[in-house]
Amino acid sequence: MTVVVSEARSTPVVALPPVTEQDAVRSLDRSRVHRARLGGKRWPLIWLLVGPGILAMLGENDGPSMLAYASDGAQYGLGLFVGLLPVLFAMAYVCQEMCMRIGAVTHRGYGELVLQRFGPVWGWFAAADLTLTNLVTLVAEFVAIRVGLAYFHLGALVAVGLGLVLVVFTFSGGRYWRWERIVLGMALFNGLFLLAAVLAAPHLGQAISTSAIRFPGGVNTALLLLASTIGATVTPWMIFFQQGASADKGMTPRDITHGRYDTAAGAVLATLFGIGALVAGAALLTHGGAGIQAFGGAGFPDALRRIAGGGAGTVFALGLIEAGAVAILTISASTAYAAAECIGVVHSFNSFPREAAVFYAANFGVALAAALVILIPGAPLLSIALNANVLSTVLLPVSLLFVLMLANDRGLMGRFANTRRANLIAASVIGFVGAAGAAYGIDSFLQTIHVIS
Amino acid sequence: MSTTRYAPAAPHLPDGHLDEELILHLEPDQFVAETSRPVPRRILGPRARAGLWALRIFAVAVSAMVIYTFLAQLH
Repeated sequence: MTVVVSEARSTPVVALPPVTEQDAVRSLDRSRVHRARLGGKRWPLIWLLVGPGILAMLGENDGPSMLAYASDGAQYGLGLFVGLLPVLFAMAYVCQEMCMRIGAVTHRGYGELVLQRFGPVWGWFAAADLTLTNLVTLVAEFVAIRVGLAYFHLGALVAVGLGLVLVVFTFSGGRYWRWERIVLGMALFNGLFLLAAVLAAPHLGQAISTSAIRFPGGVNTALLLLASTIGATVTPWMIFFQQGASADKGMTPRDITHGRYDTAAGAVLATLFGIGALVAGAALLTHGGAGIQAFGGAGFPDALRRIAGGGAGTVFALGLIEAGAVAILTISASTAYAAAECIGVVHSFNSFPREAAVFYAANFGVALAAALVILIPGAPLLSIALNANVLSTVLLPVSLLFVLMLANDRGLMGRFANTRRANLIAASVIGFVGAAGAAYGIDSFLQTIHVIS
Repeated sequence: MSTTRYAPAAPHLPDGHLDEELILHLEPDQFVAETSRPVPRRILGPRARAGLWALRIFAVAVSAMVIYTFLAQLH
């Protein structure tokens, strides 16, 4: 940026750089933040600055995750997982807070920072990991929407149409703020799982009394549950998404405190709603969890309807549709950020599709590719859905390590770099995630090739 | 808002979109012109490079195991 000295005063004056449409639109949002801050308006300021954190956390309370929580509740009751979920979302907070901070300080997304700071090899590895896990996860999201819609006797084509129309609808406007508020409004309906839990609560009875003694049988089953539950709370797409969205929103170091509120609120809401799905599922504990594995039909909501009534089944089915739809929007967005950042082209919702063709094409393209998979007759949708979270867990430690390195990079972060305490906690999280993913991957592989039984 | 002061001329503002006062709410390093400049490359030491490659190879190997198990379960 050019620095000139005004004639009137000796204070250096910074020459305004070329201003793009993206800058102009972002400055509108920033002017509202500025006015709220100057006026000391606490709640309006919070309202203006929340978004990426809540979206990342509730986006991760996606269709397969909620089905997994409900399935855990149906098979093992409440005892183990009610305690595990808050711990896992606390881990998610540790990772996501770093992403938000890096985005606010550097104004750059994760993909471009890794690529520029550590070289193209690592940048493209990160993007390839993300594309693979996102594609698999998006298939699982369409499966979840399909499960929810099947409860209302609607088929796969409606699920595909609904998901794709939503992606295109949120594009209109060429403003990040608009995109964020639409998706945020939808994400709050994740609370339907809490309502489903309330409706199913009278039927928990014996489930609560017996759940304490239930524990996953066998090392492999326990590892699978642990790996898939970790994959249901922290994933590579969340890293790309929250850092990219924080930069796109225009967050600055002054907003870091509010960014922490945003991320913490997302973690708390996601924990509560996840426990809601778990509790609703636990209503089936003493009924054999009938039909819960039937992803091809209306398995879980229908089973819940039989036990806890039509209200609980309907609310759960609507929750699945919401969870899948929101995740499609956020996960597609993370793919778009990654692709456009690594190619080095415009990567912002503050741009119109004509100015950011790669960004919007990647956003829609990955959703379309996933949608087409669920239309393939006989595609192994159940297996894909179950393995999506595990694959994310296995690939996550590499992404998290780069987040930790960036958060410690004083050349980029200055005084906002990680403290020693933050490093200790983050390193523990990475170690735990890596060990859980690797243990399951190796154990299941050795069983498959009959080295162990 | 930051204490940054900009020179008055803003010839590149999009026509009819914003006045200069509004654009000043962006921080200097927040403009697209600034964020488009690559950050300098960080040179990693041999131990850090070896550690990253080891983790990368390990992650790929375990991913391959998960994918193999997934495919085996299909049959």
